[in-house]
Amino acid sequence: MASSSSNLISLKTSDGTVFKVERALAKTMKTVQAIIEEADANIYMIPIHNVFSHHMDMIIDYYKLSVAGKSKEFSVEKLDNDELKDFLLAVHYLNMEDLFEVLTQAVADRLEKKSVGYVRKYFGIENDFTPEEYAAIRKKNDWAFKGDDIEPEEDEEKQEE
Amino acid sequence: MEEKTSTSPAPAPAPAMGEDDVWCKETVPKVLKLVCCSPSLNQKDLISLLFVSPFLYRTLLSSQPLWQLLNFREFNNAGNRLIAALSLPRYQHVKEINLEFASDIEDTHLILIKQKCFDSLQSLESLNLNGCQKISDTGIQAITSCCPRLKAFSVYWNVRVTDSGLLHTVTNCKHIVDLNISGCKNISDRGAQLVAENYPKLESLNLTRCVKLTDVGLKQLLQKCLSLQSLNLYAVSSFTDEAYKKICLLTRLTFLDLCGAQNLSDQGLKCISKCKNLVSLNLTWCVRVTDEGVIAAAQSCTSLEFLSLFGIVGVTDKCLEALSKSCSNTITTLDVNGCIGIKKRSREELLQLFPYLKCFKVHS
Repeated sequence: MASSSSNLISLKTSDGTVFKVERALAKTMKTVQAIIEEADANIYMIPIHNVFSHHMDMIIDYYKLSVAGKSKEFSVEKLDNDELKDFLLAVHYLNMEDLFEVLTQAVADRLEKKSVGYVRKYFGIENDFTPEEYAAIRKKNDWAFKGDDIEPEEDEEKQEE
Repeated sequence: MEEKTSTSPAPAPAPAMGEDDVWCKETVPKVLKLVCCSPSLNQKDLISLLFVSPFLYRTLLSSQPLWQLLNFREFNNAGNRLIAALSLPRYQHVKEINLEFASDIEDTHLILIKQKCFDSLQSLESLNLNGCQKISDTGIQAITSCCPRLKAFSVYWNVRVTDSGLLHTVTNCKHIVDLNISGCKNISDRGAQLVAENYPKLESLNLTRCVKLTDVGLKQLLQKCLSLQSLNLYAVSSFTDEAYKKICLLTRLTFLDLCGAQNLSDQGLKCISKCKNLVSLNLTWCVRVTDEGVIAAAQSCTSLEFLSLFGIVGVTDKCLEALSKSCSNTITTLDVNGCIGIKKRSREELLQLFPYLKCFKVHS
């Protein structure tokens, strides 16, 4: 039985894997920390919804690197856009500030110079501008675009490379 | 013609109920706000994000820090663009405007801005008009009258700016700490005096190629702008030791560019050496300088990282030895090209004396 005075916290991911993590790591997850504080003295296992074992692997990697002062070496390059987005969602759920900022920056880098349609698709945002509204905003901001700029695209069917 | 969303990308395992809402209303704006602050996002991309959705439009607009910079560097039709931008409420607190090398910006635009957008410039702290060669004193008068809080003003390479333009600037903007009038060849001692009398807290001053300045004007500056940390006198060769000696009054000086100071003697350099905090010293073409002056500098300015002796034939290996004694740990840039009096100046020999040396050439 893991008691609250033990150094390890058990976290159970959505896919059923149990991770025993150091208390210090659990502390970086504000969501988990809140659960621990609210629960009874002896909490056995904390379920973390929306977080899968492959997310936990990366979270533990990041933690180990930052403890060693090497957090800059952490990379999410190998993740494709959807995997990065899911990871971001998981980290957001767990409320881990530093890692969230790292991932946000990674998303920013990937969105750089992409069209409006791409951004919508990436975040799953619906375009609920009326054509009139959209045209009005475009007109107000026309000054920001040079002649040879790629205009902000509305066509969501344009695929990025 | 409402556009339909195409089939949404295959989602990850379905999130718990309410997650979609959290995603849209919390996560996405959070992410996009951070995205907007990232240095990799340029102005065009930032503004493009306003077109993503109405919710995002409102959310991003409400984040003031996103809208503090207007960047028209190298844009054409810059005058009209600037007016259009400043007419939008989100730029009411703009802090920085960059028009460097923009074209089609003239006095008439600046006058129009004063008439129509006066309120929007009250928070402006930094204005870059580098290379906007059509602007004259009239335009300067108009624009400076709109931004009383201006701290940094740069109007590089503009021969239409005269002492009058400076008079308007010092009258309208009392808090300037960074002034760049490099290449404004028509500025005279009178303009220098205006700066000296009105900006006692000036930290950075660039007078490159202001060839009409004489010792009279420079002395005024040196005696009154005692907070200067950076002083650039590149290619102003009319000064003499009479003024150079007063540079020692600037106890906070870390950057000094004297390229082309043909009248600077060892005596003058010895006085300058009293600025112990110098980190960067450019003595390119200071042809009267010899070992005596450089050794004095070496012994006093022990934090020196950047030094150019380019073209000085009167210095020998002795000055490098002295330099090495006091600054071997800090020097990372040393240009001794053309210093025929120095025998040991191959790359390897220099690295022996200055192990952290990275850059061997400053002047082309």
